[in-house]
Amino acid sequence: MTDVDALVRSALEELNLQLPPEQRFPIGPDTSLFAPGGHIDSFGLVNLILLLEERVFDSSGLEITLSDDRILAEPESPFRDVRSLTEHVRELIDRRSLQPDQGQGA
Amino acid sequence: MTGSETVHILIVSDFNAQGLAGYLHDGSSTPRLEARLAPFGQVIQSLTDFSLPCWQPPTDYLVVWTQPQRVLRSFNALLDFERPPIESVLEEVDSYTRLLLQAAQRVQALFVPNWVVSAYNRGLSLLDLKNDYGIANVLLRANLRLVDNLKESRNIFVLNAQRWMELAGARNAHNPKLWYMGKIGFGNDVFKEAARDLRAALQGMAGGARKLVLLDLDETLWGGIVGDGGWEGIRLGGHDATGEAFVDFQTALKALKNRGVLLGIVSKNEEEIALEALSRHPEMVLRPADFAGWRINWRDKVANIRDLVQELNLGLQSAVFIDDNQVERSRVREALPEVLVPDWPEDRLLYRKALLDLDCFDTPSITEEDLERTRLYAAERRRVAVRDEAQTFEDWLRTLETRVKVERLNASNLPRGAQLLNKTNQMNLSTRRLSEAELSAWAGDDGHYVWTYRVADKFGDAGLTGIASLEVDQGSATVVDFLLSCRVIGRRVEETVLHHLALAARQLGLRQLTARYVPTPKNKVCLAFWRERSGFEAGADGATFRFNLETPFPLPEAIELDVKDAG
Repeated sequence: MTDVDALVRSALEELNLQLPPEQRFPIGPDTSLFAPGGHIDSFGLVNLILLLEERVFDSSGLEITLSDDRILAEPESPFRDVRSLTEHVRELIDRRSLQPDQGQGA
Repeated sequence: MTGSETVHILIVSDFNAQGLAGYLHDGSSTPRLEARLAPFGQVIQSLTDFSLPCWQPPTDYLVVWTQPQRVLRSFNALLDFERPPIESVLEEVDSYTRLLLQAAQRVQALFVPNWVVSAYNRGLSLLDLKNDYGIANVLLRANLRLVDNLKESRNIFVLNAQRWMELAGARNAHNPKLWYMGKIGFGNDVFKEAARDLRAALQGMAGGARKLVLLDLDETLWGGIVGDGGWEGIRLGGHDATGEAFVDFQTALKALKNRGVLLGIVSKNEEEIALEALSRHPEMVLRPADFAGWRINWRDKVANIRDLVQELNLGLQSAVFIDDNQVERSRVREALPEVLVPDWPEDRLLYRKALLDLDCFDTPSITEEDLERTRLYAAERRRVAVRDEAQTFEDWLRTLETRVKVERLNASNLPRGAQLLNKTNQMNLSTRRLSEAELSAWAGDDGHYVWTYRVADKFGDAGLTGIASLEVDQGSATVVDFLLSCRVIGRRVEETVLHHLALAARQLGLRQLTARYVPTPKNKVCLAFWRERSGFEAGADGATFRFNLETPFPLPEAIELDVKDAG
């Protein structure tokens, strides 16, 4: 069972390391991410997507795609805060694990 | 440096290198690093137009990281399986390196990661290294040309980016999504490794490289307990994975010693039994002569480390302590926070890997003195033995037959001179830190004089171990630098250097010599010398010293001074 909360937290912690100390942000369910007044910019978003995809693959062998243009363009972006992002990753993992071509350890 | 506590780094790249800038900002670095990016994709403009905004804030160091297909047009053609002649590629490398050489003049140092291509690109596969148009073949030759073109430069360092790719793994190193979504050249793990190497390089340039590895014996240099089964019973070499791993670990330590890092032993053992093992075991790689010193007894290791480091005239911040025992590691880490105590693997097959992975020994140059360091300490052991037998200090000095040779700073002594300037902490008047290029430029200015001092005695040649400089202005001279390696302090070499400075100043027709002590946490010994033994008159502030040149400054008895090359 993949611990999605831990994956998201670990990706955000890694992202934080790339920021100057004064720009690092606390991580909690309501932390605003890619949203007006949020803590990450477009560079951070790209990195966050890749960090999450890597972590999901490393922990479950599942290849998920977070970088879908349609999702990024949605008005209620799943990247707006930690809670919505975690739910989005959980959904993608659930959906992917039900597909027959995605066995463990791909 | 710009004189502030923060080091400013400019990154010029043909991809989005924000990740590298981010990792360089890591708050744990001392001094603090401030990295900023030139607009990516504008490499040539950034390297030729120094009026661009990216150059306006102070820049201490420059990183120029490019991809071969973007800066070498012929290489790009090669990726399309066109057949550009190798000469075209090499000519483009030459043009590119001319830009690097020019940009390097504006900074203390320039770092250039070598060119890599994605491991996913199979090129001509079977023929890729063999064929003149193979990507791997041309990449090797382009990189070699780059290195050759830059090897004479004293402040350009080509970094091994291929290593970062391998450590990150192909999957993490090159992810096409990063490029398409953010024009990011490499994965996070690559930037992390690059930042680690750059930080280690800057640390080394600031004189912060570690100089001494202190080692435990049982279960660290060999398997088993030598006190239980004697040297015949320890696990070392033979047809045994663990025994072989210990031999390899010792070989890696010996390589470290050969490049100038001292080895020492701090072990709870019977000294006689342990030294017998080091001397007699047929597969022992490290012999007693490979160690600069040891403390093999049953005392607390913290006290032993303090003792040994002091005996070697080093600071605790120079030392690394390696011990298989976690309790000993924690004790040392807690009691001596300046000593680097790396986490150590439980699996003995991983010892060599753990040692090779340490990034605390990086230095910008390796001098003859570095290579001879262990021998110099062996000579010091003999010197101290004679001192203990001498009736008086002056008797001992006479026995040493010390010779000091003065040379004006020149191209051949510059690398060692700059190294000494940047790493000497204790007997250092002003603790000025300058790169080779900066020191050379300063020495070339009117009214500036820089000399180096080589010290030898009957026990051996300590090499270039001192630097002093004068700034002359309107009839008087100021001692700007006055520093000596710990290896030669306390042997009247200090007074010999002052004698020479006074002599030089008198020859220039000057009337007064002034020196100003700049305090640091580590140079109190220097202040004590100036106050108690320099013969200079101390000012009211206790940190300014003056000497009237109407009186000659005496040369210490029993020291021979050679000033033939001082002019």
